[in-house]
Amino acid sequence: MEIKIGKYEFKSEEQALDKIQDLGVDTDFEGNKYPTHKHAIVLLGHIMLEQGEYDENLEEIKAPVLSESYHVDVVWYGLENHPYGWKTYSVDLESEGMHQFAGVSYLENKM
Amino acid sequence: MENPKLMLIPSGYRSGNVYSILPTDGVGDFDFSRNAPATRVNKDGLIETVNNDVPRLDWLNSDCPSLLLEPQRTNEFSYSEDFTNSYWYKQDCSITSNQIFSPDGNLTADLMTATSNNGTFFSFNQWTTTTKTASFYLKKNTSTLIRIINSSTGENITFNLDSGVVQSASTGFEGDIISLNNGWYRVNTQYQVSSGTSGLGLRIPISGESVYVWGAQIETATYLTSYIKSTGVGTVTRQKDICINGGDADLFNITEGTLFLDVTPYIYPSANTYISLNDGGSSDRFVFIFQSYGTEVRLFGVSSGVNFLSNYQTITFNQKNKIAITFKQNEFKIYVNGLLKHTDTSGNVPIGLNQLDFTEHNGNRNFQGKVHNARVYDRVLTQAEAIELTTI
Repeated sequence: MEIKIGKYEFKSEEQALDKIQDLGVDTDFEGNKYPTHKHAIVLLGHIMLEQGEYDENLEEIKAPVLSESYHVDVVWYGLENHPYGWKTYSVDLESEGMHQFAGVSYLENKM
Repeated sequence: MENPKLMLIPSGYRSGNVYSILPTDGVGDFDFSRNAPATRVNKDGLIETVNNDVPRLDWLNSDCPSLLLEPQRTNEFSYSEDFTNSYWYKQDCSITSNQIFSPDGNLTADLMTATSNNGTFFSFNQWTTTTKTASFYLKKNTSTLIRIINSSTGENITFNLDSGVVQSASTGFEGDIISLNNGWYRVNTQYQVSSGTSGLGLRIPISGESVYVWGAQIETATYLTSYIKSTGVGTVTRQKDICINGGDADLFNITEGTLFLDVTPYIYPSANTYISLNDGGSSDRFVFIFQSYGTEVRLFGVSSGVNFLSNYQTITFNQKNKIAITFKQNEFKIYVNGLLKHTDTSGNVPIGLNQLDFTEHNGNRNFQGKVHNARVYDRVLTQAEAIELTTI
């Protein structure tokens, strides 16, 4: 099955989780929810843009800088385009970025 | 005892398939997929990377391989094999790269030496309020003791590399030490902080002493999984294993029988995980549902859309369990680890069964753990046979 990789920056965790829910969720006979899609989703969250600074006693001098947006990486299976509502939040990187799927290049499989 | 109709003892495979021992014509073979490379312990005891869709027959601490079925996981460390990189913040310790052969057989294990008492290297902001599992491959050089620490508080779990035990643990730390070949151990711990974040460090208590180190991993999860190599900046995700579709309608055209599993289920707190013998849908099936709370398996049966069996059995997760259900019209018996645990005297046998899946019937909720043996018989084993088969 053909794969594509997308990288996304959502406004919040809540928005990201809503988008993921929209991909398909069902409830089984025990009342448990489970995803009905086969895509591989990694919640990266608020990624670190700059490392913090620390003194010799490991006291924080400067806090790390985290992104305001909430980051999600996805391997899409059998899709040629972003699902409805995702494209707006996709980002186009010229590197593999801060996260990789093992053995699958983002640059070679970019959505 | 007559041969089963289907028997899976993990031994043969190719990309995309796990071979069953019986039947010999290939009808019982399973489809296998994983859209990423992954690592296993091979027969020689070395960590080996296998390609996409290649099943992992894992020999860790066993003379017989088991089929390793793991969930998607991310190694959140960068530079998992290069502790000289500035990603790892050093305090009172030095790192000398590529000193001895690492557990994957390459000359990539680094030597960590404490230059003062409590020599440590860190990765900041790793411990969070969500439980994580951190692990390192370690081999003694001169230091017997090694600690994984919370760098904010100094709280730690201490491992003894002579005796191969967890020496001590601060409140909140749980952990384990796994013996490998050639003096290597994989030490691991589960931990979370009560608020904010904290650095994670590896610490040698005594100045001048040293250990060999390789293969750092931290996963947002409550249990350890196979090693995920992270060679550069950023995190790396291994995707899940999927093993489904063993057998067909002709093979499972049976009116009575026995379904036997010898498995090590992992606790997966996020959701229940499934093994099912089914008709490709939900109308007719036997299901083993390993409960997310990690103490019970639910055995569930449906025939022509009618639920006829629902029984919970206590098992120990993260250990081998041998479970069997024998079935015929109005007689269903459940055996767990050598004991007859339940008998049900009403219900029809599911019809149209055509596949054994290490998932639910629709490919969801993958079983997570190790498969040592799986069998489907076309007859009801006697009580003596079932007890013998399920005895650990």
